[in-house]
Amino acid sequence: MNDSSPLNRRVLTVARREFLARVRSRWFLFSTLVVPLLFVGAMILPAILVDRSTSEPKPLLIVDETAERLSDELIPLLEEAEVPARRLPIRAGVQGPGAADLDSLRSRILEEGAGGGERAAAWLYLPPGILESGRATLVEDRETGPLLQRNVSRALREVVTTERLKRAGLTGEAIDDVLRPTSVELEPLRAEDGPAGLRQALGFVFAMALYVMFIVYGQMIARGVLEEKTSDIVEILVSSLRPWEMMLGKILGIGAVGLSQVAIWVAVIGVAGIFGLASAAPALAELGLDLSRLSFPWDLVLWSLVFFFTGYLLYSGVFAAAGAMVTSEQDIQQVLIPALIPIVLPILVLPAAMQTPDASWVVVMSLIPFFSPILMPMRIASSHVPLWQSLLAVVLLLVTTYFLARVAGRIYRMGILMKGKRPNLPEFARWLRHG
Amino acid sequence: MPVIGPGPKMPRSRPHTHSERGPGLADPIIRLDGIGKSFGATRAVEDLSFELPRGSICGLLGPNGAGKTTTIRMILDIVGPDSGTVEVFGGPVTHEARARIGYLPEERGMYQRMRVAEQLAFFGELKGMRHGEALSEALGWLDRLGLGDRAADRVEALSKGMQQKVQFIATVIHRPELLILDEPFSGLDPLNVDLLRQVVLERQRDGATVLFSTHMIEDAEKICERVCMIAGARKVLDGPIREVKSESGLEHLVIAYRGSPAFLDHPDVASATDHGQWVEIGLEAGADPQTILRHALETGVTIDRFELTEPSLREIFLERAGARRRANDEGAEA
Repeated sequence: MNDSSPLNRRVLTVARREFLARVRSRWFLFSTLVVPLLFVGAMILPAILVDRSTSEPKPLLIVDETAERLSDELIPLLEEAEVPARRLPIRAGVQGPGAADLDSLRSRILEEGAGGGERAAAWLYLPPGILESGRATLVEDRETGPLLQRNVSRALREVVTTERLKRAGLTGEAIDDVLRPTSVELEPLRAEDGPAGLRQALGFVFAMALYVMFIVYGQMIARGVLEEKTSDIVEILVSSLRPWEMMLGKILGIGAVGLSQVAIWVAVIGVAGIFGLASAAPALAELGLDLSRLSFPWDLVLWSLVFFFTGYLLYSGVFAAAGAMVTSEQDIQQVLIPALIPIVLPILVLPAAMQTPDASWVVVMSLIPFFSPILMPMRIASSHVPLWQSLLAVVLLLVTTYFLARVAGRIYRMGILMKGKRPNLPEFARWLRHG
Repeated sequence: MPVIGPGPKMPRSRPHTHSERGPGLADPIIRLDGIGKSFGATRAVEDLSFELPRGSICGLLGPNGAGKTTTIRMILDIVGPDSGTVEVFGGPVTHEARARIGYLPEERGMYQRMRVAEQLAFFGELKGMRHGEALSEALGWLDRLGLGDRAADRVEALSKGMQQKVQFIATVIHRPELLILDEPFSGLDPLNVDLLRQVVLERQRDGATVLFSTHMIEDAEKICERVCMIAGARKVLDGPIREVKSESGLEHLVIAYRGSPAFLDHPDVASATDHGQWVEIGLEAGADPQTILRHALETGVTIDRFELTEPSLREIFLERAGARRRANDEGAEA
């Protein structure tokens, strides 16, 4: 290996030490094993909780004041949609057709409608004259979710429509014919794409993972530099190699730790995911999700890796300089917080950006070097980003990294031998000029 | 990548013959030419020129804060000089040159959570050794310095003295041609000082050149052939100890006595330093030592030892540093 090349033996020796020192630590074992467990737990736990809550579903209680007793027809239809329902033997005492007097309805429910202490999912009020008005009221105590409202309104529409058709003189067979269901199939534009929602969810997971990795490994670099300073190792290191070699070796070594950890996670979660999906296939198929139509999002994974590498290089310089600027563990938070801001900012806008991945402000932010490592993978997952935009983001990242690394290298070079107090701003400016 | 063998091929003879001084030294390992360094308003080193001949062992002397560590850092190119030039092995400090230097910093430091042998192998590798080679060297040195059974321990489990010995091994593991030791013996017990001094002398007999800094002038006088003295950021003298002493033009008298020190108050006595068991006396020019002896006996003290001798380095240093300070003061007044 060429002696002055960036990847000379000294740099690799430092990188290997940094790598081994961390991979052999208890921290690595713990975080590498615990994170997949948490992840799997987060996937399984909601399923378990949902399972338990559906085992004893709370019923929908119906206050029926229609002349036709529509609830007789409605209840079987709701049962089909897995909404258990029961008629309450009360009247709301509402005056006039259709116009629900809410206050009166509420007080009736609160007085008697609780059904002898029975918990209800919600109360459905069917007023007289519903065939003309077409309006009913669903009263919720706690948040019931849009699903219940949709199921109830779908079933109610069928019942009301059937009654109206009967009134219009149609018979059973003709009514069935009119009400024969229609359906709309959702298909991706490109045959190779999987369902868009799943892909976008994956993009969100990747963006969050990148965010966590940048923060964890960035801080690891800063603390590693500080440790060498406080334990006076730098003095002996700088007599053997150049400061930039120390910095690069440390960044590469810690980056390798990050990659190994990601590789282990991907392997564990991947294997668990394949088995999990295979066993869940029948259930998913019932929901209309055909597993054979899911394809592995290679482009998303590859771009995420590219942005992990380039983003890590950019941020690592910032954190190495931050670690070199302080002299004690107490001071490090003060420099870490400004260093973390450009990483946290894209996460704050992420939910909004996911809704409109091609809005101009999102496009601009996803090209800005400090934000692109997190925002661009999300956009690639949520939309069809033109290739030039992704490439431009990478080029801008690399150019910024180049210049930033020079500045960081100067700060590092001056900072590592500094002891005692933190530099004030004028001193700091002098470093940048003369380093 | 330069391959550093088990030991540099160098003449085994001890080149005692280097007694010439000043510019034009045949083959200096280190050549400093008018180097200076300031930190803000503080001048750490001023206009320092100095040459270190191959194979010599030289003490860099001076009180705390005189500029010793800054000078060493400039030799190693850890900090660049504001002015002047530094040459090591006849050129600038390249990677190749660094691999031939062993440096023991004053601020000792090691990775506390790393195992002893691995740590030493790491420092050896940074100097260009292969991993296996560095590891076996490390084990050999640990055995020799009585730490053979601690090779697999973490550094943090070692006592401070042991850590200092490990640090010392890290300095010599790659058999450097130039050893630069900053206060190497500070904080060690006499037994370990002796042990490390043996190793340093052995390295020098094998052809290495040694520069070590200390503020303990007596330390240097025991082990060094040459000295370079710094005070107040400037060099006050340098050269082989014998020449420094003979050229000092000072004649010293050592007297061990019992009785009152009143006899030291005599016009021929220029200076008197009480070493505890004896007193070292600097004589005025042209004074006769016998006059002092007679005067002492006349005052009634008992003389146990009376010896005419070269001045100790400490006396020369105090004399020269004092002269420099006076020159400075006069310069400032003028």
